[in-house]
Amino acid sequence: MPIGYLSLVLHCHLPYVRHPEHDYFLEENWFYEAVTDTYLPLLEVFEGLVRDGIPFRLTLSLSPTLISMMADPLLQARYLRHLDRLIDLSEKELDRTSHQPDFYSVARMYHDRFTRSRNRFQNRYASNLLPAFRRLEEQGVLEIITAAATHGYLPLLSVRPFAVRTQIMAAADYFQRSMGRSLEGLWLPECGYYPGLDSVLREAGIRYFFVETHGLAYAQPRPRYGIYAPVYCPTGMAAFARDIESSKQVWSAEEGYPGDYDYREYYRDIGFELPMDYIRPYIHPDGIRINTGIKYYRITGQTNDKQVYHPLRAAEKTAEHAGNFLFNRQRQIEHLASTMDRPPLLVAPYDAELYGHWWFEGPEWINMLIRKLACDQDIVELITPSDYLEKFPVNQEAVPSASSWGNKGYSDVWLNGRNDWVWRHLHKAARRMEELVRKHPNANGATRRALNQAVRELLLAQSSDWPFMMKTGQQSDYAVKRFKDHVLRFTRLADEIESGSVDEGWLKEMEERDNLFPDLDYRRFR
Amino acid sequence: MTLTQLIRALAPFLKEPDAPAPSLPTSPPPSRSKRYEDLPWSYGETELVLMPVDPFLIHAYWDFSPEDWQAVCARRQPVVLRIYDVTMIEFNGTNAHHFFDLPVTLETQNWYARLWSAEKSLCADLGWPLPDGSFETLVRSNVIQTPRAGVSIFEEARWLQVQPEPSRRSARPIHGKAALRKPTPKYGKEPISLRRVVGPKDLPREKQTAFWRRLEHQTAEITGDGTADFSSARIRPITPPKTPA
Repeated sequence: MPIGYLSLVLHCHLPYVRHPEHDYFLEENWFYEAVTDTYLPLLEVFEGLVRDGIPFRLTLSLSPTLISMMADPLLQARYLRHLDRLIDLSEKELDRTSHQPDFYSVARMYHDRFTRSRNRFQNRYASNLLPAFRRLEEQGVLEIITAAATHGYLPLLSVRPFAVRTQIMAAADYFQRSMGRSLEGLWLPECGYYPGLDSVLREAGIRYFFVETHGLAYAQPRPRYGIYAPVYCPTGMAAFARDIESSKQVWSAEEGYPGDYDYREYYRDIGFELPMDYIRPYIHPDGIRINTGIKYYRITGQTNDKQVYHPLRAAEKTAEHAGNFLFNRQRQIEHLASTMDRPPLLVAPYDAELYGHWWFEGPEWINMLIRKLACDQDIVELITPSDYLEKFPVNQEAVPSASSWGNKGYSDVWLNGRNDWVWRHLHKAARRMEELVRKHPNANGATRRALNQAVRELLLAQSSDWPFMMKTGQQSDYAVKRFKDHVLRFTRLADEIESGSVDEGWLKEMEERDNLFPDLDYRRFR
Repeated sequence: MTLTQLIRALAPFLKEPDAPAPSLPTSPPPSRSKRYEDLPWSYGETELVLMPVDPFLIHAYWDFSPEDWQAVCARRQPVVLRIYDVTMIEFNGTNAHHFFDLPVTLETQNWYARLWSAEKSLCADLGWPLPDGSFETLVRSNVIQTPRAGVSIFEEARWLQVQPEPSRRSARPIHGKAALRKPTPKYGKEPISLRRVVGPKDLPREKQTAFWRRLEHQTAEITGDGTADFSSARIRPITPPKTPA
């Protein structure tokens, strides 16, 4: 019997970015980069652990937009094209660095990595990663959950309860279709919770969700075990809270592991460094320099004079950092166990794209951590939320406090001077959709298709990613355009439905362009 | 400073009640094709919506029907946003615990209001204070609840036992290929059963105090001006969390 439990939760999400109307689209690279840097390496780590007979349990949240992108044939084909270009570039790099042994060994690492990615993606996974994750769940190592349909920020959508219900129901339905089973846990986008949300989750058959630390620390009544055990909402939905100590060690820009000087430097990409004539075929067709994914330096220190990356030295550091993380969890759990009358639970959720994309060595750190947990000690045991609830079905009843994991812990990131204008349009559109659903309880033909597409456009407009990007100012033009496009498409569809004159040609175009959730049925939201 | 200079300097703060009314959009409604080119400035319906930003900040936005715009303009008296504290009461327009008024610029269509206490139910009106002390309401908002900003003072613990319904239990754990083929329960069906149970005994007071002191300190790092700024290290969408060295 361990002294305490650790629940690792990786949340994988990208906004739905798919532009069939263009042959090349810059923002689609987010998906390709995340596949190469994060999803494929994580799969390789998990499959390696299974192969070596290492027992572990880990919770993986795959957002519905990400699952849709993984399953999309156009993006699959374009990803292979993207990899082919990278392989081509890495071959040229082998040639270019052949007289610089240090650089050459890093170039070889990239070349091997890209060819291996291509081989695995196309041959092993038949271009769709979802079945691979599902297989790991069948093997008993992963517990897969999902997020709200398009990652809508629910506390602010809740002005129109219809909007929240649509986000949750569409997610639960899509999960059921893609996973073949009902949804147990939901990742609340941005950990955004408000009292009352749990009753919608219960309606969708969900059993648990996650909140930020103060969601439970400030719950009412004050939970006996603080954040180190879940509470049940009055509806019976279990709320698990993030442990700030484990988060900080990985996330923090100053104290976190990813800033170690031996790890790969993200900001020295050859896309920005090599002469234009050489790099042109591998960047934006308009000649705009972009990250290629090939980076030769390590962080080195607070200097611009960077040293060459040493993969082996970095690998040694991941083992050291995994050991340090485990040591700290052991001490934390021993301390907490002395103040609790049940084994403490530490919940450590992370955005998955941190691992591999930003923190190049992150997947290997997870690999080392899981191996150490399984082989080197018996103080801490990995557990998933449903396993925990099975072991401890009795928990305190409390109402979590409204909270999110955005800066300062509330809604400031999604409601401020840079993005507050989006909410009036989202609320208005949700109300209009609700009326359309009420007025057309059983539409057929083109009207039904238009109603379904209107829901898709509404959902796409609701992504928390757009106001987030407007706030950070990065790709904010794209975010504004996407937001407006979806609201305007929704408006046109709603106008046409109301006037009884659906333009079928245009509808078909929209169905092909914004093609996520193909089985979505607006009548579910009555 | 001459008297004229003084009056000119103070002019922005000495707005007459009949200051120029907000200008009205005079152009006709956009044609059908234009309608899908950009988002409208107004949806032509009168409403006032409140949203909590954090325990001490709320946001309001509003919109007016053309008739209400006309009425506001004709009135030539500044509109104020009156915010009521309606915590734990059924609000009837006059029984709020207290209220405060904010002069707002109508054309901006939105406003932020700072608060001095958390965990309140709030509601707002746009309208005009009248000389007899009453208030003429043009539009009333939704009621919102601002978040709690600290650890709850209520400690009484109640315990629940929650079990998945038998049909769900059979579908878990989800190991083995058979799990995928199993029929799964329909939505809308209750997934769980709840039972109130006797919980564990209270922990000794000194243990609880030490436990909460530590946790409160950590939590304040997130919600206060602490050092842990997790959002700066965010990945989604994939954009750099820091500027290059």
